[in-house]
Amino acid sequence: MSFIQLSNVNKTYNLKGASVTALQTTNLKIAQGEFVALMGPSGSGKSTLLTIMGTLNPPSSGTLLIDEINIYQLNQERRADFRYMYTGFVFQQMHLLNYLTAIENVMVPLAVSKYSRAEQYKMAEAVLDQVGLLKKKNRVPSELSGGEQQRVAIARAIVNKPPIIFADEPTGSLDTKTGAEILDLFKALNQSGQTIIMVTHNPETLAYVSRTIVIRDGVIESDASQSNGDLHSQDVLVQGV
Amino acid sequence: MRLELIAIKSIIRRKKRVFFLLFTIIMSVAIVTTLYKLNDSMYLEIGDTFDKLGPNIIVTSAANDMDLAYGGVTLPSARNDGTRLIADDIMKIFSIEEAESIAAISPKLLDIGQVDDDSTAVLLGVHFQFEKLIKPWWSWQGQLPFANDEILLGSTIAKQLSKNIGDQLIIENETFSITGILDVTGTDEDHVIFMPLLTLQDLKGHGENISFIEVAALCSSCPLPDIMEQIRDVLPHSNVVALQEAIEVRTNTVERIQEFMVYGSIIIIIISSLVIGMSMMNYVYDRKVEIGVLRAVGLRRSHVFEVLMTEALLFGVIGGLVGYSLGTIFAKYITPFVVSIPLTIEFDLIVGTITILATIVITLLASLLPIYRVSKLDPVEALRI
Repeated sequence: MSFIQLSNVNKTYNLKGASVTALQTTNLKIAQGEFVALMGPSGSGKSTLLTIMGTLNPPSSGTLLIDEINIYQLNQERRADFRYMYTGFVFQQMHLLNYLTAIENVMVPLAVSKYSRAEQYKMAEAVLDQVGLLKKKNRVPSELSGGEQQRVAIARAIVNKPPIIFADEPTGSLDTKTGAEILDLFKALNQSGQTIIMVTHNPETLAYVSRTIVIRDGVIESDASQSNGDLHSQDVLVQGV
Repeated sequence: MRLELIAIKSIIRRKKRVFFLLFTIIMSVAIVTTLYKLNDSMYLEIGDTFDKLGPNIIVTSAANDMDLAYGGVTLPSARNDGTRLIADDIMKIFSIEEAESIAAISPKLLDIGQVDDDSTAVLLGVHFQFEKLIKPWWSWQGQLPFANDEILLGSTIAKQLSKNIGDQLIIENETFSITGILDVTGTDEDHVIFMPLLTLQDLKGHGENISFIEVAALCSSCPLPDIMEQIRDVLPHSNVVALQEAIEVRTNTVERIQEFMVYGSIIIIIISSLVIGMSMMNYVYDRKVEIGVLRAVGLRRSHVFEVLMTEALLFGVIGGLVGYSLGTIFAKYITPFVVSIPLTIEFDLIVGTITILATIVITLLASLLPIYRVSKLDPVEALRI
């Protein structure tokens, strides 16, 4: 059984009376520990696929199983609990709370945990150290560079030690050098056991990931994994193409 | 990190954003508070002003024989009888519990006298300094009598007797100088000869007796029946009646003014509530992306609800407290210059508490729907991914 499994998942948006299918009926399996890149042109449906897998966006049809839990059968509150335990999300725009310091931003997911304030603080310091920003823990986002803000966002995503990290174009707003540093971070997280699923336009990501899924017009066009330096095609079950 | 802390830091550190919202709430509360204080104080002040405009209580002796009528009141003749009122009885009126509610008192002696050998006229003995207090609308030509042999004529009787200021008039075979003539009042006073009380008492042999006492009582702080009851207690040999006309005019006018101000205040409260509501709605909808982030990192809808309602609660508390204080200060120090009426305005713990609680309720209620709607969104909708 795969760690993440999509079965016959489809997403259609209704916009001003017209239906737009962002994701055609899709089947996909992702094993624990994979570093997956979702690539494709703008509007291809890759962000839709990511957010569905990230439990943020209920599909129009189909099921999502993560760790054998049928995610979209849970109500909104239970899904939120699931997100807290299983996922971390990194956004292209970072979406840090600009009125909280770096360490306070990292502690936000822990606001509903059982940990005491002291324990939360220690955990936040540990992950900030991991992303190399411990010295800037008391800075607010406006006092940090883009790369530093993204590091804080990554720290926030991993503070509760989730097994899966979803990242939506995390290097999209960054320069090449900074982007590479962020990708190094993700690689390190993957090597310590976390499953990472990343939407990206950045071809340099290919050097970091273990699997690349290309989506075009809501359909998975190709799905190749990389082992021992070679690319192997995955069995791609696509229906309704 | 706790949810309440997110709310507190959101308010403390987003100063510009928060300032405009708080300013709206504070000004709304301040305006309502100012109007309420004005309304409350003006009701008392206008009421007192009305109460000072003439008597509203008449005290007569409880006698069976009623000989004379004056100002719509039937009076006993002031014979030398132990049950009669005497001038010193006014000191007993000043000794009642609600003496502070007595604005003015004027004892009077009413009688008929022979004038210039061939006619009779109504004679009214008064203390002119008390009369001026109880009838501030009085105006006259010449001056008020001072000496015992000086008199003031009503406008009509002056014409009837063809007398002017400086002339002399013989009353009960005594000669008096006319020092003044009252301007037309349209009442019985136009037909009356006014003279010093002691002079009339001596002239007609009434000793210390008087016919009645006019009392101007302030009704705002103490109801008229209570004052009348207290006067009856100190003057058990008297009849104490309210001048119904005076009461009705006061009631109609003052209560109409108050009604107008209450309706005005209600309208202002409704408008202020809508303004606070719209401001809170904008404040919440502007936080959509932030709410999406909180939901994405694992906070439940109820957690997000808690954070935002905590902020709304804090806005209500701060807005209510500062707004009430500002409104009271404004009412106390600024509005007297505007309305030119002396007002008594103070901080009131009960009213202040009610104001703060009402502000909290309005702010929370105004926030409820937008917070509910925004927290219900799927994170991807809120984040617009």
